[in-house]
Amino acid sequence: MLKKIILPLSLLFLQQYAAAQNKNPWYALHHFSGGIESNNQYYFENKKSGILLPEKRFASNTYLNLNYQYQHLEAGIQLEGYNPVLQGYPTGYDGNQLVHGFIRYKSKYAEITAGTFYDQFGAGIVFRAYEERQLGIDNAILGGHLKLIPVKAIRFKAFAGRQRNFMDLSPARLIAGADAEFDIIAIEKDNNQTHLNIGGSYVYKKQEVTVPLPNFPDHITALAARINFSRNNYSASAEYVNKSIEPDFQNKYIYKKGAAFLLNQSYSSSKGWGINISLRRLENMDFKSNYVSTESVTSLNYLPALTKQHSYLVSNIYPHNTQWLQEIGGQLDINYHFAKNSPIGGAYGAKFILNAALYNALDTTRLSGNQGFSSKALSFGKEKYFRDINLSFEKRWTAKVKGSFSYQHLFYNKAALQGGPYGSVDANILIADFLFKIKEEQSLRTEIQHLFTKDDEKNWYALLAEYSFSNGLSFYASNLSNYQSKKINYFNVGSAYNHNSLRLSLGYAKQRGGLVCVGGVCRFVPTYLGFTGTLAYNF
Amino acid sequence: MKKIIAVTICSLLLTHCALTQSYLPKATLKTLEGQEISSHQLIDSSQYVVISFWATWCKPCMQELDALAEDYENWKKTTHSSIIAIAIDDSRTLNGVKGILNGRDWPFTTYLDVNQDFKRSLNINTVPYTIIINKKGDIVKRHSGYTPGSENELKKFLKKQAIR
Repeated sequence: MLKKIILPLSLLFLQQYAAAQNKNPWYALHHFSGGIESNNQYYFENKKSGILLPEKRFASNTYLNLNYQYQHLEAGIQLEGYNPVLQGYPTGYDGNQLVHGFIRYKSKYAEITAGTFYDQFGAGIVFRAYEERQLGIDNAILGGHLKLIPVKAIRFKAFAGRQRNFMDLSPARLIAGADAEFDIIAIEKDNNQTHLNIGGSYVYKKQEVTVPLPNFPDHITALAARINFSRNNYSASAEYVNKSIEPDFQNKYIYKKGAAFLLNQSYSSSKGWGINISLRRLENMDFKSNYVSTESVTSLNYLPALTKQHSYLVSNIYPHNTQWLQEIGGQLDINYHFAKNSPIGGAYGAKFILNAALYNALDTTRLSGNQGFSSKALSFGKEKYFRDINLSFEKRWTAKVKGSFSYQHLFYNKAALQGGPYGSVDANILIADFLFKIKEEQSLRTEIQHLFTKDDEKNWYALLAEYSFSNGLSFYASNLSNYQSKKINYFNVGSAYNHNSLRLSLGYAKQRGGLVCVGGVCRFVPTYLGFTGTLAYNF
Repeated sequence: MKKIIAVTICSLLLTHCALTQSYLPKATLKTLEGQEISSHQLIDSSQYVVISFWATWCKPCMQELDALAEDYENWKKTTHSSIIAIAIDDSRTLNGVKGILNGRDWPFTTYLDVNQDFKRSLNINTVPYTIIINKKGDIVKRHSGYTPGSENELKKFLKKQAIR
């Protein structure tokens, strides 16, 4: 399929290249860009910490992109190499392959794509194709995509194709969708900025029936409606999704419709404070192009955990995990900016951030037969999944010292969120994070973190120090320790260098999985013991 | 397969030697109010524009934008450039963007790159990532990552351009 696209695409380039040479210098209209990212690891064994040696000591994930632009035309390819795939990533990624290729025509009124593409309808609850390399997710669609903007207030999108499933295509024979959005009100005056738009989406999945169950659906449809409103400092958005009966491996083949509801409201004061509230309800919303799979790589929709996304080591030990089968809850964010020269703000100002989240199971009644359960619309079930409250105060204390203090309280239902015979976890976390300017071009960042709990694996602490030079070079060392229960130290030492668009890093770590922000960037890392070397360059 | 890789790498190197400057790709961004704009509307024919990619969960991004915000008045005067922030947050953390903008009091215009189409079209893998475009829209500088003080390198670069 890809080869069929690449050949005409190359011919088109040559033709356009030749044509352009006659009129303009070729480089004036033809734009090439690209990038390479290579993450490599060499592993060691550590039986004491339960880290076993994988089949091969060396593993490597490499991605190469090349893009081309000529006036209204764009084209690109992506090559991926897994030799073999890094520890912690899905093993379905294997070998070297040309995984993406596309050609696109873009004008003010239309956008037509043939090949692989990504897109999202609404908030992504009904459809989202995206790439998140650090998580090993790439659920691009291979097919055709059309976007029309006949007038500024109307946007229409439609697509049809098949979804990527690691190095191949997913079993569902056809994924198709359409989305329309209309601006009803768009006022942009100085004292009155009001916007109202409505939208609707439709997603269709044609699948082969391979399980011996009666009346197994050979196609699934999902419908969504949404509304967005904003007036000056206030904004609100809501989306509702309804999905036809979809039995799959993950929901244990129950014959049940799916539904989702999302409501967001926010208010931002011009005096430096803002508040945001999100509420979400999910019921049987697993939606995959491969219904026998447990891998999120074939997800057609996006149901992220709506909680604070932490960058601290101990805060990432118990992260919420969305329960797409049934979940109800929400989160609240409050930001406050203390002005310069105020009693709390001091000479430089200060920031206060509060985030709280609460998620429960639905209020359900088990049904006989294969229908699973019924549930009450806006009632919270008795089973608690997750709760947390985060408070953070950040301030520049002197010209050379900037720092923050954070407190987090969390409740984590490990049995429900990770699956297994676990108890729940009640924990408190304290964090101090400071940045010291040593000289004009050198700085030191330190983090002291502690998680207090009597549950699960008991207390944890973490220490981090990072010494950076303004030329892009940095050295870091951190240690995350489970010092009461498992008595394991997860250490990480290394160096990173950024120069223009080049990024190099080398580290040695016994790494717990999670989001780690060192060396100037944030990325998710899997569990391993060994060396990691990264090279990234783009132009 | 190996041939494809070899050919691509060679062409990559060749094109790079021939052309180190690329043009700002066209992608759709959203305003905080949900209105669509083209990335080409970021081009300013009167001055250079610094485009900084960030996310609510990215600590070095916050450090970089905080540092740029603290010095912004002086920055505008001495470098003759403006700064635009592009939040790459997806629907997981998107609702936190406005709150952070409020709490941090950044003076920059911010746009949303919700499904990361703009970021992808620039082949950016990780944030923070900063590009500088000239008055025509050519990308004249790319900078990956942030270490405290590295904003001064961007400043020096812009000052040099202003003298030219």
